[in-house]
Amino acid sequence: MTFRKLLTSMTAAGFAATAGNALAGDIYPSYGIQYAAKLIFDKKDTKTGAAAASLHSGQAFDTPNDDGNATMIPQTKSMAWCDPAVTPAGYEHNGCYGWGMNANWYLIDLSKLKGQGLNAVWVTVSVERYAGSDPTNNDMIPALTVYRGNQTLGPQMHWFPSELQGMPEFWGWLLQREVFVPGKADPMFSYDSAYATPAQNFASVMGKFKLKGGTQDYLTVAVGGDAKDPNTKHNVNYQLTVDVKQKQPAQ
Amino acid sequence: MKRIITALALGLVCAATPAEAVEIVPGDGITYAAKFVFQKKDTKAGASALSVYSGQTIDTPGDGGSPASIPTTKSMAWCDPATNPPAGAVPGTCYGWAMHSKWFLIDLSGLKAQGLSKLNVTINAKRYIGSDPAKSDLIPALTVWRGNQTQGPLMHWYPSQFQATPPFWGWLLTPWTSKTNPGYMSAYGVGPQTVASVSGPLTLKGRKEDWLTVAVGGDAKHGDASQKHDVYFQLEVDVKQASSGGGGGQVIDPNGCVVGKTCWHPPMSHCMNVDLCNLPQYLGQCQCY
Repeated sequence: MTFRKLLTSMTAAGFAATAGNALAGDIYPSYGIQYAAKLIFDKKDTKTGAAAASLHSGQAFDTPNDDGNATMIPQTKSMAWCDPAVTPAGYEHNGCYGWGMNANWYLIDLSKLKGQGLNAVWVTVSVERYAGSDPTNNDMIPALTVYRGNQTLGPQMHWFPSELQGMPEFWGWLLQREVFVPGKADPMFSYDSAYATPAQNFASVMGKFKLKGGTQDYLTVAVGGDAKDPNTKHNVNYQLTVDVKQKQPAQ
Repeated sequence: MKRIITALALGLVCAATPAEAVEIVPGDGITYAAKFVFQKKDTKAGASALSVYSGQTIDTPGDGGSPASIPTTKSMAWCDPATNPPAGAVPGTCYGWAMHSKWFLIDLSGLKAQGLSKLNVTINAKRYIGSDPAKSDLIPALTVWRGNQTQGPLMHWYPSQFQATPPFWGWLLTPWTSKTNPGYMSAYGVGPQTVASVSGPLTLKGRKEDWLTVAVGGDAKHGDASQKHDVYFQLEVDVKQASSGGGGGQVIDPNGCVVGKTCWHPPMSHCMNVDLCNLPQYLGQCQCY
């Protein structure tokens, strides 16, 4: 229901409109998506032996040209990746949707690489439990979803298709589910949860990413917890590692 | 980050973690607290102004009935000496905290195609009394730009008074000013400190250019940084067609204000909306014709 419809129904139902609060125009709350960070890869970062990018909750990074003002990598929520409480209208019953606002979003910028002579890269994105200062935030069961594309436009809705569900239509219209070259990814789908693993502390997605050219060579990563316990939702710390290499990494 | 790498190269640091080669930019992309989309019918005489306030929940269209809340801002978000903008800051001025201010997008991009060419826009930021009295003491201030900026890093500061140096990171934003519109205002020096207003004419240029970006924050000028706190606000946006296209049109008074609509306000040296001139805090200050 839009606010306009809500207002209409309120008026129709005979509720007195609050003085001065009648509305003109449509209102879209929370417009535009902020990535927790953008990770920019250069060809030299993709060579054998180059270090992977790694960051964790609570770590501070300077914004370039912002005169030493640091921004902190945030925490996510224990149920941000899969929570029955978000179920949007028209959802697929065999899955669980993530919280768009409680998950943390990252942008991996590979747009320079094609111009530097590369045609494809192997990408590994991993999320693991991170031990921060508060022990109650150190029990994350990590999960992640990787999309192709860069989405800063449009309203950020409450849910996202964490398991790449096709219904309802994804609001992130610049994001694509097909990320990796088929048959060159394990698993083929670009999402993973640590819930079903014995240690429940590590989730990872890996595949071969074909470089298409500037504006298409971005990956968007959603990071959240998959604790499957709606009664104990809380903040959790994590570490995110992104490795981009020209050669296929050893399994 | 580069400094850390430089330090590594100089052999000053021998970290246990691997050297960071990949450039990491935190906080990329700006989230507006809300976008307001105006249609021609919303700009007709008699149409009500749009109004939102902290704590109000609004459904995202198409989001299956999940509401989002209009947030609070900070008492010193609009002007805080602690924001420390990069070298080159204009002395004697004060920059806003980009992350504590609330950003709103006014979407007028559909109006030119609907046959409109000129609008009068009034944007008011007001103190709002909510459930917690400790958060109900906002001294409102606002700045308005032309443009829509969702790209790029959100830096800590912004030029709340349009300071030209250092260069503004919002490269898609330009100050929205005119002879009668300074483009920003603080309630700090004004009466009971409860209303700040920016108003002026807007000539529509076409789809991509017909956006206004509004930053709302507090200007409490606390002597002690520990007094900074969350505050409620109300934001009102009124967009009206500038003239009906029939005869008549606007009559401009000797001060450059529009007779019957705006009046010269000497304390702030700009034309003020008549409705504002009639508020208790401004009563008797305006020169109306």
